[in-house]
Amino acid sequence: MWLNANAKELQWFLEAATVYWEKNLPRPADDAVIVVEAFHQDIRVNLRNLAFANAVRRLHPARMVVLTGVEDQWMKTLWSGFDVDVVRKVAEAFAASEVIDVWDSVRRSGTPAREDETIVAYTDATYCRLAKVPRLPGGYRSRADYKLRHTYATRLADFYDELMRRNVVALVTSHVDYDQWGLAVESARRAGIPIIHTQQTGCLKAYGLFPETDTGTGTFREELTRQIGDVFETQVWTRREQLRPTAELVAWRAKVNLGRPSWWRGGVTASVDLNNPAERARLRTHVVDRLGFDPATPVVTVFNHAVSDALGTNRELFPSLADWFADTAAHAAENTGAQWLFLDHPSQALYDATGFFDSVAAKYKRVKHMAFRPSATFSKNALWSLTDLGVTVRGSVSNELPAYGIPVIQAGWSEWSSCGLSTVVDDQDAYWKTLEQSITAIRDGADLVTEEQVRRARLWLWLYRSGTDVVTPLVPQWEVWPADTLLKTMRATFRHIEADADPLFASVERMWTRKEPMLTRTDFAA
Amino acid sequence: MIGSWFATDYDEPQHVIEGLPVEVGSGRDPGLCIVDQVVRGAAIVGRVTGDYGAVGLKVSSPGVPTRVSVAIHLDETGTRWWSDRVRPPRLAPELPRVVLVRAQGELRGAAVLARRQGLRRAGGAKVTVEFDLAAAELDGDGLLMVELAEPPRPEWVHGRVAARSALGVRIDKISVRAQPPTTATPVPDGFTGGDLALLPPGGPERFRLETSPVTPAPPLPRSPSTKLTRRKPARAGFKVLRAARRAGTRVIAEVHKSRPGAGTGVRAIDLLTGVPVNLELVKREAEALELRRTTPAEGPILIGLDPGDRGLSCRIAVPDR
Repeated sequence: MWLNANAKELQWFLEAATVYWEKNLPRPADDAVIVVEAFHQDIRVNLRNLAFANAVRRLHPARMVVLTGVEDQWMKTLWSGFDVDVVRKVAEAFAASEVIDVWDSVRRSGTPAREDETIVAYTDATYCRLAKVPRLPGGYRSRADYKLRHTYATRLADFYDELMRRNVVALVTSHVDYDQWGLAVESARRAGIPIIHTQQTGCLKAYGLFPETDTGTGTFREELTRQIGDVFETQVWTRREQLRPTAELVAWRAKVNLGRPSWWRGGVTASVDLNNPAERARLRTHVVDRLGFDPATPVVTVFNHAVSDALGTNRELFPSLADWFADTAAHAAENTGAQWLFLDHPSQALYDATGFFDSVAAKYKRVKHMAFRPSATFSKNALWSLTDLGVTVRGSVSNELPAYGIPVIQAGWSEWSSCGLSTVVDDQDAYWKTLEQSITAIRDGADLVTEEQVRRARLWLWLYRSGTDVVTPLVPQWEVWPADTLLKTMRATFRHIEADADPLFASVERMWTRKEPMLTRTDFAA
Repeated sequence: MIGSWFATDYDEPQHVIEGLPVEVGSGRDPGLCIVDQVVRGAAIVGRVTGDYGAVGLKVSSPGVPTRVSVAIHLDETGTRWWSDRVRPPRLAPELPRVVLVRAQGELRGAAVLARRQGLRRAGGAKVTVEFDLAAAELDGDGLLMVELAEPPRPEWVHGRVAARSALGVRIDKISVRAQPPTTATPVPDGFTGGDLALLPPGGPERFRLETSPVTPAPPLPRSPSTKLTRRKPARAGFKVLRAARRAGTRVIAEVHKSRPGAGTGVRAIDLLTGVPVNLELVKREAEALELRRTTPAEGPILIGLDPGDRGLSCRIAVPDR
């Protein structure tokens, strides 16, 4: 963990946490353990895991095993620093009985690489992410760094398989992708262990996959997408009238950038002021001119994703995110019935070192009806005035745009893709066809978004930002930062707030006993 | 129709500015309803944060032709914003900005913004751009959209106009009043502060381009980026160096005054279409060129001395005035 905090503040926090959890956890009676990962450098990520695990331990007394460690390539690409000792201290303050440096034992193991489909899949995705490349490079199998990743993945898989043979109550993990997290999830699923996936936003958000509800037919995220869709359909959509005022409020807050709906955008370019079609049309006349477009022709905005982000973890129509983007650009070049704006992902620099977006842009430099821009060169006002149809694989725009009546086509699944907000297509043929049909429909003046879709999208905004966000003093909101402020806030919790009936314990108990796919702020079944 | 779902139940009813004249000089004015890449100010309307910036005023349709004036201003904070985002080479001198002023989706005017240099007379560049709107243009939703935009850049302005010209520029005030009976387009008075000049749309065919020596602009300060240079003693040192450099350029400019050479000509471009405009040299004087436009132009014309000279400032004068 990398913690830029005052040493005294950290010490006080650790002491306060130790006393709190000493008195608030039952003693384990058997050899049951709960496995918690702490591979991320951000303490906020790990605190969410630890808090959730301790809430489970109150229901099912168990010892806590914390997995941590750091590997060179992870360190080089992603972390600014990693101190295993800090993880150890924090984990012990949260009453962990065992802290395992996983990477250390992986490095010491002598197991050679093994050709196993799952292991190779995770090796490929992790290799792309850590090398920051959109696709595997030519001759990658013989590259030393790939071979090392493959060996590491094999050893990780063996380590996790061994670990999951113990009497494991649950695996609590912040991520479900890449070698160090994804392979643990795979082992846990094989062993029939419940998996809790905490989220890095809001207060405490978590999804869960229980062996009883796991069909075993898709990836973790695929299972989740289906289950979230079910809950949405049976417990949220049915209450749309009752929830309407709150959904409207969340929609308004998202519009004025309260709650940071697009976390990468801050300040003036993040807030939307447009209120009606006339205002949109007026601003549009200005914005199209910046791109050399015509205001009367439909504008399709294609939102590029971070190209090496969690490849192959949910259903996608194209072999890779880069293929989707390049093929869509090639399709756009032929399709002059619309004007195409291609926007790069705002954090692309962290995911791509090959200049993929620029290389595609260079190819179509002279095509008048296509434009390529970085995301932040447009304010949200400008984007909304411009976009007649959004296209993405799994980006959050597929929720945000429909909530305000702009249609979106998704070439893959996301958390909310089965909630009926956007047009989710099943295969590549359908994708091209849907694109064509949508453009024709827009030219004919048809409305592609129904009122139901808007209501669903606003309800999802509510569900995502409110319904499944548990407010507990034990997990301060993500924005409670920098580290000293967070530690001080949590110290106040541990020292001064009584634990009785804390929302954390009540909501985790509800989710755990009913095996629900998500942690909820209130009882949806009531 | 897209846009009909933009509003939510919690949106405030919109404030509409009633009656003429309209004077908006603050970003907190409730009539300022849309900002696009503009950060609102308290005593100014706002400051452009990107390559383009637009603001929208909700004005009840006056029903008569109107004259709109937009006061834009390049101040020191604006140049600091610019240098922090563009990161120009450390020794590249500050260049003038050329911005287009667009309203209701059309080009209405342009401005050359070159800050006054010197020791004590240094200061920001303020330009007020005025244009007329027909009654129908402020009809319907009554939304007046004013945008500062990037100009077209022909080959000859490279190295003579700042990149990303609108970035950091302030919109100080926007006012709308009933159109006065005279429809003559005002020719901007005074020197631009650089070797560029602007002829507004519909300007005279024959005019004089007067020149005057001016202190060339030194490089812009850059916000320090390393731990060491961010410290106070280092920053104070940089400030002293900048003052010395400023004094140096000023003294050199005083001693060695720039004058247009015998071969100095002009280049010009129509900022609306991006097409070159031919200007015929009628007469050459010691510190002025008398010019005649021989090709038609639809938009404002950007005129630059050829070759450029950072030690000269230009002014357009109409002979029979």
